[in-house]
Amino acid sequence: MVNVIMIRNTYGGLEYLRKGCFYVTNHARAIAPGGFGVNYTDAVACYQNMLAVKKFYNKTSDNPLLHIVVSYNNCVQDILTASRLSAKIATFFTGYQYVYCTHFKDRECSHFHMHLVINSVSYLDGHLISSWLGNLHQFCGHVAAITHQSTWLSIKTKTNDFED
Amino acid sequence: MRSEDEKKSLVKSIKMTKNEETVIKEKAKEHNKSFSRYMVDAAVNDGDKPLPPQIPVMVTNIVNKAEEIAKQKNRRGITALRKDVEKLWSML
Repeated sequence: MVNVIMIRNTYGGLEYLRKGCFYVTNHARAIAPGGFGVNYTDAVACYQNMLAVKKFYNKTSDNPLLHIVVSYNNCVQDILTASRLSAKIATFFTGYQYVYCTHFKDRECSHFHMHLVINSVSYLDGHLISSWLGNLHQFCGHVAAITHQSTWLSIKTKTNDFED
Repeated sequence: MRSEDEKKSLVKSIKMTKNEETVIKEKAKEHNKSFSRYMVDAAVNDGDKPLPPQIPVMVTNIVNKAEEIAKQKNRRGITALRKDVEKLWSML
């Protein structure tokens, strides 16, 4: 089973976005970072890329991002497989900029997980991303199709999700 | 929480001809926007910001792919990259 965790943090503002970009592009820990519509090799540039879209549509004060963690079970044993899955999973949110990476964390039933940070404002039309349950279930279906495993969705409220 | 100056709290009525309304409706539909959203976006963004975000987003993706190609020395990647550039040209 693959765990899909949606993290709710609506109080961080743009600082939360900046932290998210630094966390996901952190070269010391991130395995095979990638992204769409952002420079994922540079945290500051990544933040600026997302902020520019927000400013264009005059939406800088809403919840800045959607943070999703996908935790693979121990069927995924190597970095290459994990990073390939992460790259495919990230493509779900079309119309939005995103940055992702894979992390290694040795646990009893899981070795790898991915972090996906999505700009809440669409670069196409400025629409805010929907985190309603139906959309998240569709995302879980997408993850299940890619990993060929069932998924378990949970929603957590956190204020320190980019601070470990 | 959205700040006060980003809330859509004003309602304005405007006059226009039937023909103008038809043109705006068609353009709004093309952009997948509501009538009022399209009018506001066109007025606010098109004047001093002619570059829509789609362009820098696509260019950034092309640079990202170029970096991957350079890392992997991947010839087929270059063909895919050229297709992306053609897509960009087709937006004109």
